[in-house]
Amino acid sequence: MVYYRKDILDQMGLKPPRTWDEYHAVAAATNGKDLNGDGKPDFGSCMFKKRNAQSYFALMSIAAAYVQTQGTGEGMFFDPATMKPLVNNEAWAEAFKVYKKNGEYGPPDELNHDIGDTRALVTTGRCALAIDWGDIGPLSLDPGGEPIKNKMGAIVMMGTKNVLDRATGKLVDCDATRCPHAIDGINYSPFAAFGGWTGGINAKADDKVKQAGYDFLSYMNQAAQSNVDVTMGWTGYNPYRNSQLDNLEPWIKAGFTEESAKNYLGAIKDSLNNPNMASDLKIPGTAEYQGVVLDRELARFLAGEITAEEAVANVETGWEEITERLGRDKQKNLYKSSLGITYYGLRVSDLRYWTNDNSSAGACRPGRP
Amino acid sequence: MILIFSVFPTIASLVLAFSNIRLRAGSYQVQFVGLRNFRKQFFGTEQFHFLGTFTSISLLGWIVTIASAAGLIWWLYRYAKRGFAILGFIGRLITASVGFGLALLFSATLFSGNPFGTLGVTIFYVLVGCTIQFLIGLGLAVLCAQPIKGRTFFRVVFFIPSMITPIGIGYSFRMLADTTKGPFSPVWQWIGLGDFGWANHAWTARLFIVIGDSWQWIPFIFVILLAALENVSRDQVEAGQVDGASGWQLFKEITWPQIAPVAATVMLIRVIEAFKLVDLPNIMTSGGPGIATESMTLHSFFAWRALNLGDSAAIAYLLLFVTVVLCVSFFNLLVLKRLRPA
Repeated sequence: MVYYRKDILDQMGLKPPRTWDEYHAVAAATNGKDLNGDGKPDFGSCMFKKRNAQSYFALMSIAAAYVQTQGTGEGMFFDPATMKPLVNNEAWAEAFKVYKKNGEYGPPDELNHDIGDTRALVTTGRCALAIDWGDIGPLSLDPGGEPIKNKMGAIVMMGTKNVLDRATGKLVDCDATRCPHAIDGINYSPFAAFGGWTGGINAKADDKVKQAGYDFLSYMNQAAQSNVDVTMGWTGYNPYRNSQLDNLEPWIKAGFTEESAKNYLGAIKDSLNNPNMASDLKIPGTAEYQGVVLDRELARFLAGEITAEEAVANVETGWEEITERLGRDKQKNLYKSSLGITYYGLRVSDLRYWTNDNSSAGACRPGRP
Repeated sequence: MILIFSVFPTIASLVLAFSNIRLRAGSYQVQFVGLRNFRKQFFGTEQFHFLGTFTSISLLGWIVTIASAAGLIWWLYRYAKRGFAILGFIGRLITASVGFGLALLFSATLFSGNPFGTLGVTIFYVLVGCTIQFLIGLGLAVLCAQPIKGRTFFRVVFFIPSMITPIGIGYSFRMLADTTKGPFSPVWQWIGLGDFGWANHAWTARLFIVIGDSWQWIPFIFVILLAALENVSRDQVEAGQVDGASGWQLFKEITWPQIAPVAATVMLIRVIEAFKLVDLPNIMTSGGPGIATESMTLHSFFAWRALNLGDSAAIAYLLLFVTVVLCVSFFNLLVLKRLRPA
């Protein structure tokens, strides 16, 4: 999500941005102004860019709107028919460039900032715009968040008016067929970066341990406990239950005004409910596709070693290599299943894999030959 | 027991280096792929990462390449002429090949304006870091060996950094070097570098890593050289003083020859350690900007963490090879030659 300093934008007569062009305009207007009243110039945009940290999640969040238009099942990483990377094109290259341009309105050493560094700047009121998971809201209520308490507005991730034409790899203007979910001609695709948190219990643990593990996870996630936890920034928990998103009371008790609570929860709900929400990669090798190859090429691009076009070409080569090593067919089927493309797109041989796997492993894990 | 603890991991990782290994629930699958993991580093998609980016070699690059080739051939020729032993010749041939390979590498990258990869970065940390550490460590040791007031206090203070865990040093330096909100940020602003981020430029980032590494390791060199200095015979020094030798002459003619064996040993240990540098770049820059501060160990670690065990092991073995060749060459050809009376 994008966060903006409501007080500053109101004061300057600026509207919250909807596209990256508008984002850059707001960032340029606010950059260098004193935003927290300490007499020192602050920053228009804060966005973590450190290598081997969270930078590639920011990049993917930017890329999603350029790449995905037809709804969550379309996917933004590979061509589901061939498992060819969908990355060596103008859309991803544009996302690389937008991400780098944001740095022009940020702190000078942003290239070495991870999300912790960025949050430290945001919560001390030094940033007019920032992107983050759902954490900025509750962090503004924590001790230390006073400079931005009830001053932050939240909105869905920036959209775009031009999107990827998958046939040519070029960016083309949105129209009714190309961007069916567009609002005012702007295609949004809120990216579910990192997917979420999952609890796991070892299948080989003995029953007592399993039960204890289950009880613990259940306790942590029941409304009585978690509805308070999500209002505290330092837990790292973001709202994820309907009762947490709909019930304002715990949020107001934690320090939000009703308006801030509605705005913050509204932005999360808008993101989650968007029919074109983009799903993170959920197949084996994700750590390598994203955390090694994409992250490294992004870092090289940000450092000025290579151009955006070279970066996306390198990512394509690197992803192909991983796919080949892990098995193209297997990866393809898993990618399709992860998007919810099941029987419709499957060949007979794929179906065989399915049934084989289900009978032998006794679990519903499609695509494992 | 010794076999299990020392030999097994070595063999297992060697197998990994030649395989494509896939972990799965409760088991794993090993597929032998020959030299593929190594080929990838030298000629394949990881070439830019391991060796560097190659375009064309500049004039300076050619001069360095040809000069080093000529030097190494002359050195081999001289050895062959003086007294030829087949084992010694093979050893020198390996040293010369690796030396030439590195000269070619730096000619094609550094001297031709191209970025170099993790091999070059590692060698930079070793050469520059160890030189700085040796000079400062020796300087401090010489100072603390003087009969000055409170020298026990200084000795303890100078030794403290080496007692701290490298991860802690990484985080401390990351905090100290943070120019937006760190403790030295006002100083940084005051000297007019407010808009300059050291982490944005390859060489300044490498320099900051070397500073952190030096802070940690100077005490180690300091304390061992200090012990060596304490053992230098007072009689000889005093005899030299009586004869009117200058401080520099005393050091060069009397002190240095006596501490040289210890200095060589401590530097050997330090060099081996420096080849394995990983904590500081991992924490301070994560190898960035781009791949500018990524050491080979970090390169291997990144591959390992994404469960690409084959590539990870291959890089580790390349590091082992470079380390062994350079350290054995250093010790056999430079140190032992000086120490053994010819």
